[in-house]
Amino acid sequence: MKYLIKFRLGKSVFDRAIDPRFYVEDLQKLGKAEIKIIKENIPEPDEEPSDEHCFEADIVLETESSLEEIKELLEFILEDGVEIEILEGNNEEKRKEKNKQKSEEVPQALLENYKLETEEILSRLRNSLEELYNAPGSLELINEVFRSFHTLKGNTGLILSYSEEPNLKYIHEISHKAESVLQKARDTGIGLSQRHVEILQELVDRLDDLFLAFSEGKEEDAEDIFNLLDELSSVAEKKEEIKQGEGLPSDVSALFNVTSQYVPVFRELCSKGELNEEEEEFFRRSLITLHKLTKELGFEDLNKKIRNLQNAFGNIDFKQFCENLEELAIDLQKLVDSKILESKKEVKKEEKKTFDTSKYVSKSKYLKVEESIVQNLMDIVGELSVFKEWIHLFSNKLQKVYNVPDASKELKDNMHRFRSLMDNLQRTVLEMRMVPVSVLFDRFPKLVRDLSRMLGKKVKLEIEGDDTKLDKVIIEKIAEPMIHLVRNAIDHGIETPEEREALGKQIEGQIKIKAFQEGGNVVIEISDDGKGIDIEKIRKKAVEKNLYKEEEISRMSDEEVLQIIFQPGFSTKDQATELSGRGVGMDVVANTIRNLGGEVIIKTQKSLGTTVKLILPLTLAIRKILLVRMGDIIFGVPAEDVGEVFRISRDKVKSLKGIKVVYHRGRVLELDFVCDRLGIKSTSNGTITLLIDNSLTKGVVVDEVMSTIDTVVKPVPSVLQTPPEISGVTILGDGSIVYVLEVLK
Amino acid sequence: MKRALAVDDSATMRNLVKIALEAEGFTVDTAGNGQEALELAKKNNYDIVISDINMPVMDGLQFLKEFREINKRTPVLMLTTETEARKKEEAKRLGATGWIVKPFKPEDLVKVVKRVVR
Repeated sequence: MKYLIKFRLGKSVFDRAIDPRFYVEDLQKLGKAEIKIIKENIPEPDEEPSDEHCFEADIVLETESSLEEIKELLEFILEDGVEIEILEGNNEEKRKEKNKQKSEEVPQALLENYKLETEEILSRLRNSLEELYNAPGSLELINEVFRSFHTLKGNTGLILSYSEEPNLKYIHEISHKAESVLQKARDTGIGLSQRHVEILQELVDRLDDLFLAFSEGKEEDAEDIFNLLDELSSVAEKKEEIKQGEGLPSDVSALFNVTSQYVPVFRELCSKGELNEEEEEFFRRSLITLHKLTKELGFEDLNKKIRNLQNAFGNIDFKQFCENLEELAIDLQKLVDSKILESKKEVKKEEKKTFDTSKYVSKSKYLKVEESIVQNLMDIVGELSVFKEWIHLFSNKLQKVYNVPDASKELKDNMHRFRSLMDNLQRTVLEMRMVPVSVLFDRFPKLVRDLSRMLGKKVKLEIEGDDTKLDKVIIEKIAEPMIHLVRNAIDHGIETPEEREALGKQIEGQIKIKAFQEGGNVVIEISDDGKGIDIEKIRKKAVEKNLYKEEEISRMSDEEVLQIIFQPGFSTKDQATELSGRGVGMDVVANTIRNLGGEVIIKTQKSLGTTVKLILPLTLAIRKILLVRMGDIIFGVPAEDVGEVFRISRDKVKSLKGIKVVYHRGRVLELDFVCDRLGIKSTSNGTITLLIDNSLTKGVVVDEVMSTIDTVVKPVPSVLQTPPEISGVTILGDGSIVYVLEVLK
Repeated sequence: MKRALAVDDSATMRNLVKIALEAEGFTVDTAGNGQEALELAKKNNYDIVISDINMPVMDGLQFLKEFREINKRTPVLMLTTETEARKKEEAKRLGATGWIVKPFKPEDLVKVVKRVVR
C-alpha cells in the first residue's frame, strides 16, 4: 500500500500540546516514508501558540498497514488538517479480522479491585436510592446515583474487554441504561418519579444477584431485566413530554423549545455537507427566528453570534459555517441549562439552604487495608507479647544470675507501662478485623422479600443491633448458615396468610434478626412467629429414617429430640420445595458454627414460633488452645475441637476388628494413638488421657492435659515439611514453639 | 524519569492507569477529582496528564480548562466513553491532546500515551 498523507496543521493543534513531529516519526516506523516539509514553525516549549505557528508536510508512505490503522494512529489530529490519499493498493484485502474477540485472563489485581469497588458501589447505590425515593426531584442525589452507575458501567466494561462473562454483560447493560435515564433526568433538570426509583431499586437488587453469580462463577438468568429497563425508559419519556418547558419561566421555556427543535436538524444538515434550496431556506428562517427571540429576551451575546452567522451564511465555507453553528448550539444549550438551574434553585431555596458540601467530599471514614497486612500486624503483636514475657524473665535473670538487683527492680517497675501499651495495641489490632454485622444483615431485606414472594407468604423483617461488630472472617463464614436459617423460617415456620388468618394471628408474619454482644461472645438471634417445630413429627421422622429406634425416641426429652434436626440427612418438610436442596442443611449450620468455636441453641414453641440462637466468639484471631503433653513434647489442640476430656485406665481399651476402641457413655469411641503416628514414645503407663471430639465419635490419646492458653496460631512456614496432623504453630511466653494439632476434625 | 498524573474518581480506573504507566517506567501520581488534580498540577511538573471526564467536585472538562490556563505544553488525554462524542469535541476545544475510549486495556493506554509523549 502507498499513501499520500498531507499535514496542514495550524494553531489549533498547538493549543492542545500536540507535537506533529511525533506523528511523522510514528508514520516512519510503519514503513518507507518520503517526507517533504513544506512549512515548519512549531512553538518552543514556553511559547504561546499563535496563528504564525504551523506544520505543513507531505508524506508518501509505503507500508503494510491498512488505512484504518493509519487513521487510528492519526486520530487526534485527523480533523485538524490531515488528509490521507491512497496512491496504490487495495484497502479491502488489508482489512484485518479485528472483531474476533479473544477471551483473556483478567489480571488478578484488576479483578480484586473491581470486586471491591463494585461491592462499595452497590451498597452506596442502595443508600442513595433510598434517599432518592423520598426526594425523587433532587438533582444532587440523581447526580450521585448517576455517577455510581457510570463508574460501574466503566469498570464492568473494562473487565468485559478481557472476557465476555454473561453476568457482567447484564451488569453492563443495566448500568448503561440506568446511566442514560439518570443523565437525562439530571441534564433536563426534570428529576425522577418515585416509580423510577422503585425500578432502579429493583435493578440494583438484580445487580446484586448478578454480581454474586459472577463472583461465584455461576450463571444467573436475567432476561427479566429487559422488562424493567423498558419500563424505566418509557416512564422517563412520558415524564419528559409532560414536563417539557413546564414550570420554567416563559422566556426560558420558549428558548428551550426552539433550541431543542432546531439543534438536531442543524446537526443533521451539517453532517450532509451540501444543501438543497429548501434546506438553505430552513437555515435562513431558523436563524431569523433565533435572532428575533434572543433579541426579545435580551440575550445580547447570543444575538450577536447569530447575527454574525446570518452574515456568514452563504459567504463562507459551509464546513466553517457548521463549526460556528455548533458553537452556537453549545452556547444555546448552556444558556438553557443554566436558566433551568436558576429557576430550579429559586423553587428549591429550601433545599439549597441545606446543601451539604460534605456529600461531594468522600464520606467514608474507612480505610481499606489488605487483609494480609492486618494479619502481619497480628503476627507481629503476637511475637511482641512473647517478647514481653522474655523481658519479664530477663528481669528475674538480672537479679539472680547477673546480680544487679537495682536494674532488675527498675525494669520491673516500668514493665507495667509496657504491658498496658501492649494490651492496648493487641486490642486495637483485633478491632481492625472487626466489621459491623450490617454488611451481612443488609442482604436480608431483599432475601426476605424474594423468598416470601416466591412462597406466597407475607413476612415483615425486623433487624436489631446491626452495628454489633464481629470478626470479618466469622461474618463471612456465618453468611450461608444465616441465609439458610432465614429461609427455613419463611419456608417451614411462617404460615400462609390464609392459615394465619384462620389461626387469628396477624396476617403478616414476623421475622426478627437481632445481634448483640454478651460477654466475650456475640449472639445472633433469628426468631419467627410461625408455627414452631413439631416435636412429635421429628420423633416420627427420626424413627422412619432409622436414625433412632422406637424405644430410644420415647425415652428422649423434647430438648434432646430437637437436637436431632442438627444431624446429617434430616428434614421434616413433607414436600421438597423449590428452596430445598439449594443451600446447606441444619447439620451444616450447626457444624459451621461449632467449627468457629460457637454454639447453636434452638427454642421452639408450638404455634408461637422458633428462635435460633447463634453464640459466636468475637474473634478468630486469638484462639483457645489446649496444651497437651505426649512423651516429653508439648502440643496444642484447638479447644473448640475438644468436646470432652477424660482419663481412663489402659486395660479398658478393647480391640474391635483390629481397631482400638473404648466404650464411653454407651457409645463406641474409635481411639487415635497419635503419638505412634508421630513417632513419639508415650510415657503414661496405667492410665491414658482421651480428648474426645464434639460429636463423641473418636478419642485422641495423649499423656496429659497441661493447661489452656489464649494465643495467636500461625500457619506452619512452608519451608517446613510437617505431617498433615500439624496445622499451625504458636509461641509460648518463654519463647518455645508449640505445634498445633488438628486431630479431631 | 517521566511523571504522569492520573485523575479518575474510580479507584479501579485510576489504578489501571497507574499500573500500566508504572510498567513503562513512569512515576504516577493520582487524584480522585479535578480539584485534587489541579492542586497537584500547580505543585508538580507532569509529562502527561490522563483524566476522566465525569467526576465529582470538579469534572474533567473544567479541570482541563483550568489546567490549560496554567499549562499549555503538557499533553492531556481524556478518558471518554463511546457515547460521549460531544464531550470529546468539547475536550478538544478546551485543549485536550487526545482521548482514550473506555473500556481500554493497559496496552491500549500505553500505545496512546506513547503517541503524545516522547
